[in-house]
Amino acid sequence: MKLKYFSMLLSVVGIIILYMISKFSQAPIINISDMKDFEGKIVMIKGVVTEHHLTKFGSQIITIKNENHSATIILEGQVDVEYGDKILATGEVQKYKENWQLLVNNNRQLQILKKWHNGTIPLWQIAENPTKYLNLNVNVTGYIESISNAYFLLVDLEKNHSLIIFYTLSKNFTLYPGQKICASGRFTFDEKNFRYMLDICEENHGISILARE
Amino acid sequence: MLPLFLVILFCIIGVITGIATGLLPGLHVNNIALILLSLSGAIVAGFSFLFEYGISEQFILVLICVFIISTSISHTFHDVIPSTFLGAPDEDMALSVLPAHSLLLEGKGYEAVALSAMGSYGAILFCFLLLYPIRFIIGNPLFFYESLREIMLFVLLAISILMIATEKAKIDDFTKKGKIPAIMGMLFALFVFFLSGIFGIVIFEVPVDSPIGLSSPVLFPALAGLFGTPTLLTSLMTKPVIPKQEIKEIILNRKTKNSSILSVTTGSLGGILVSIIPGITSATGTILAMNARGESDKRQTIITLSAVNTACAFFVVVVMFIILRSRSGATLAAMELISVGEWTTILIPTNLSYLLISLLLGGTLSYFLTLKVGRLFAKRFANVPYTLIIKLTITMIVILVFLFTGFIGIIILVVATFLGLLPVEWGVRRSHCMGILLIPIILYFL
Repeated sequence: MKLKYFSMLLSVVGIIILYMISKFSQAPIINISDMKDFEGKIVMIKGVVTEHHLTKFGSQIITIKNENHSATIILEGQVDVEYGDKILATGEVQKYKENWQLLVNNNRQLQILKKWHNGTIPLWQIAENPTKYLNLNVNVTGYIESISNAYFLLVDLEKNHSLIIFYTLSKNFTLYPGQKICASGRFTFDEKNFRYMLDICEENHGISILARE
Repeated sequence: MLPLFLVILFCIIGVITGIATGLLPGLHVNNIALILLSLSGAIVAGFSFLFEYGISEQFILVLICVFIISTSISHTFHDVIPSTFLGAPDEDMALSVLPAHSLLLEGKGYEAVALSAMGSYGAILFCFLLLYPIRFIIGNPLFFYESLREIMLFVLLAISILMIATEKAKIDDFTKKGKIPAIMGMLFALFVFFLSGIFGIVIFEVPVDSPIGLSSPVLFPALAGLFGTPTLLTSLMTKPVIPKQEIKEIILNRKTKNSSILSVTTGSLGGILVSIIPGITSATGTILAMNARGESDKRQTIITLSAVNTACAFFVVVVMFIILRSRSGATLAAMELISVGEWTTILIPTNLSYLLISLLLGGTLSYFLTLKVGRLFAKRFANVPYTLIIKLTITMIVILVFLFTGFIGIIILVVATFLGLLPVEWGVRRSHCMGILLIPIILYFL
């Protein structure tokens, strides 16, 4: 066979082989705490977004947390992530100023496993381990107990746990005690009053009324 | 005084290295940049005795960059020599094979080299003159790059279409009737472009790993395979009969002088465009420049091509300080090594001024060295053990690919080599292989 046909055949076959290699050889999923053992290696890590911002060079810096360990992801690109989203990132482990980072080459290497608003967390679960959800967006379901202009108290059915929720409500929306609602907001710590709270402060936050059982 | 002396010294060593990379088709300056980047820690340690003389660690890293940039500029001067005498161009010089090689067959190989050196040096001077105008156009206050970014998708699509539509190869394997061979040439160019694009998308998903813990850039085996090894293999297969070469200095009359200035201007502007737009190479810049310039003879073609090549190597350095983005392997390494602060004022940033010294000095030295080496080649090129050197270069590329990217890197190199052989064997432009970067970038902007 002439080289011109031979190279055409082998380049197509070669690309198919490389495609199969890419599908069958995935990088290992590691814990954030084990990153130090994988310097310079391609790995996958997953966790919940606790911080994210863009740099002036167009890349995105995302901090994720998993089991009390945090890692910084440097993404060469931008992904629409929000606080509280669960993500899986594939990239190279690098050390920068004594911190471990994951360098992710492109958007395709970062997957959003679960958007924060796609699941609700019961009050007792937050009460059990509040630091786990600190500064994250969460969805909480419960019953309104007392209301003032700027905040209300959310309680569970047994009234064992309560959470103060700060809000700004639109005019065509009325809340009253006993109503079952789902509140989406940022779970933060109010240092001044020494208490946890849910702050409905961003565009993607809100309150939805649920039908009473 | 010592810092300036060191800059000049590293620049001279870089120029000499550039002669080696230029003369050995397939050994690209990016390979050198990559190796130096990996070894930068060891190099700083090796030169730590300079600390006593007030030279900082950061300055040694600047010196490594001076070396890389001088190598890249010297490479653009000297790569015309193998493309003229062996018909074995690297990707950037691929389009100049026919005019330079045909001059060689007329016994005027040295003239081709001298014309190329003139085009390259003309581009250095032209680019230096345009330093401030381009700075104000691309950056503050005109922000041309920001406007370009908004329409980048259309710019890249237009360039891709232009590259394929201007393909002149005729494929007559199936029929020789009418316009069908020309259409087949374009379709095959499209095929190579898309196949390279698919290859690019696939390899970015393939995990490569260095067996000795080096950083593993997946593009290294891919680009070495697409543009390096096919060139070397072609050189091994090429055994032309070359007539005795005449060595005469070029004399330009008024008409050819004006024509040469036009060639340098269009070529340099093409090269500057390449240094701004991502995913395109000098070969693409050449297509743009040749279209802008219009009809020209083979001598002017050589000047235009060399100007594109050198202007691109010059301006990727400048553009790095204006838009803070790397557009070549050399600047990618430089950005990793030194602090690149945005050039926002009238004053040139300190690190850029060191690199400008290496560009100007490296360019001037390279001009005279290209003429010297070209003369030597014309006289004695029958005695050079080129086959052995080429075999050693192939072996070195394979070893480097294995060390940087492991066994999977070798598979990528082999596949890329077959892909890179397609345009060589079918006679279409090799720049269509840049689909490897262009298609993923176009998809990114979509």
